[in-house]
Amino acid sequence: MNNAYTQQNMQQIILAAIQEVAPEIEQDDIDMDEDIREECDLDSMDFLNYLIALKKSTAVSIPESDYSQVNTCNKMLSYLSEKLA
Amino acid sequence: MTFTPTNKSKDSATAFEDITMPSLGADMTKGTLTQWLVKEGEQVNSGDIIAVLETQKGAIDMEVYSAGTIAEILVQPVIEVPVGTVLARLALAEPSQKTSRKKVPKATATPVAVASEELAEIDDATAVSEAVIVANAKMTDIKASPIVRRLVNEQQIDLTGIQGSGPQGAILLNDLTALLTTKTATKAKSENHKVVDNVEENMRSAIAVAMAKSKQEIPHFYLSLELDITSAQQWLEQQNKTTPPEQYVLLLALLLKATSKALVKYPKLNGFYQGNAFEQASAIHIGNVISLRQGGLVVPAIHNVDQLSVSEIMQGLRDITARSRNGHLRSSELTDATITVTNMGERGADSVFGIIYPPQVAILGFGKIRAQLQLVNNEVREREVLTASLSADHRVIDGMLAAKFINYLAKQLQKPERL
Repeated sequence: MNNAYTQQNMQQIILAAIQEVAPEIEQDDIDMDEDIREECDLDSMDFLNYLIALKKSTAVSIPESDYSQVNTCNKMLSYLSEKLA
Repeated sequence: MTFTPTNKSKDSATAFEDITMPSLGADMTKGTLTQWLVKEGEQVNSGDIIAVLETQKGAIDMEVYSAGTIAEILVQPVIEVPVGTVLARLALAEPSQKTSRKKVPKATATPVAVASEELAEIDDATAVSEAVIVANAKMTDIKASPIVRRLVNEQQIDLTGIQGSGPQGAILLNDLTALLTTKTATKAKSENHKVVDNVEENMRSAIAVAMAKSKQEIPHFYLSLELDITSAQQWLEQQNKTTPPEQYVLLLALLLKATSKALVKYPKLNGFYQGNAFEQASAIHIGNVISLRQGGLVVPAIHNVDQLSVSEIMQGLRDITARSRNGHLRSSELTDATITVTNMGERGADSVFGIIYPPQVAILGFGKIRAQLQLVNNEVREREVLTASLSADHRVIDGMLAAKFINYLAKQLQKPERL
């Protein structure tokens, strides 16, 4: 994994992206293993804006074919870690 | 908002326009100015964001509709004022620009009449707003700006002996600084806090007023049609498979494009009913119902949908959704929709029959996507369908026209590549 991204700040990057579409969400509100759309009540437009926010902060572009690999926070963590390794 | 292109006391070639607290719907009677983003003497272009407002619709970026120079700022934040109150004056770059202003529905009619009772006449030489004309009945000899008039009414201030610095000696808010004790400031501030705290409650009552008015006045009728979206979904799957998230297209963008095409063909569904007559809109601005996370909703419009590509519509949708969340919708987006679309599909309802947002004459609802077995050319096939439902104003639209419209919309979706 890239030294610039520790597990800790990667988690913060994900939270920041979620807060772009759901400003009231805090880390404690999210079960890392549950479906992020259910956890944060995101519709498909919010989910897209979440992915776009992540792309802005990490430069990782996530296509639809990979959606099943990023549908929870923990899965997103491993996905991004792998892409940024 | 109107203005008189004359100002005898200053340069006669310069025309002025009032910048007023806008009405963001028939239900809005007042708003709070929270911040100016321009200074006196600053040049602005049509569409520039010049102030931030706090309204029943949440925080709104207020735009200016003409190019020119901010001549005078009459009202200082933070203050709550009635719709129609003059906030600032704009020295127009080109006097003729007023005629090119786009037409917006006169949702202001009722609130302005109410607000005008609190306003009084302003100086003849300055721009005269509609509200002020109505209020001329309350004319007195002392010349003062509308905000001063209001404060005088509210706080029983005596203006005698105060030297006005405005045109023809009109008393402006600045001239009252000595008189306006901290009491006023505190009051305005606490009122503003109240507004901010009660945004949700205010929005609830705004929705209540608009929807009750609609149901009382508009003879709604309803019809629905099942749309076969199999080809549209296949096309989207192809488009989206490998695309980056910022180019991803959702079905709603296709539905809006198809809707705009149907509106071009059947323009009677696109416009305003006011003053006992229907006025067809010259452009297609589709209002999109967006539910807010804290409750309530906003209906920002995407402009000129018929002239946008599907991917441009998608960008527009993403943009208004994001800005609805973070409070940066623009005043024009909330006032100029010519028809409304509500997409309930994702939240799991099969169909939705909306209440028309006056003075519009139709609202179109889309339900959730369902898989269905259908007979196609004598074979049983699995198809994807969703229900489109139309609520229409029978004063303007007849059942047959509504049926033709919705069938034409359905047909457009069969060739998604041509949208």
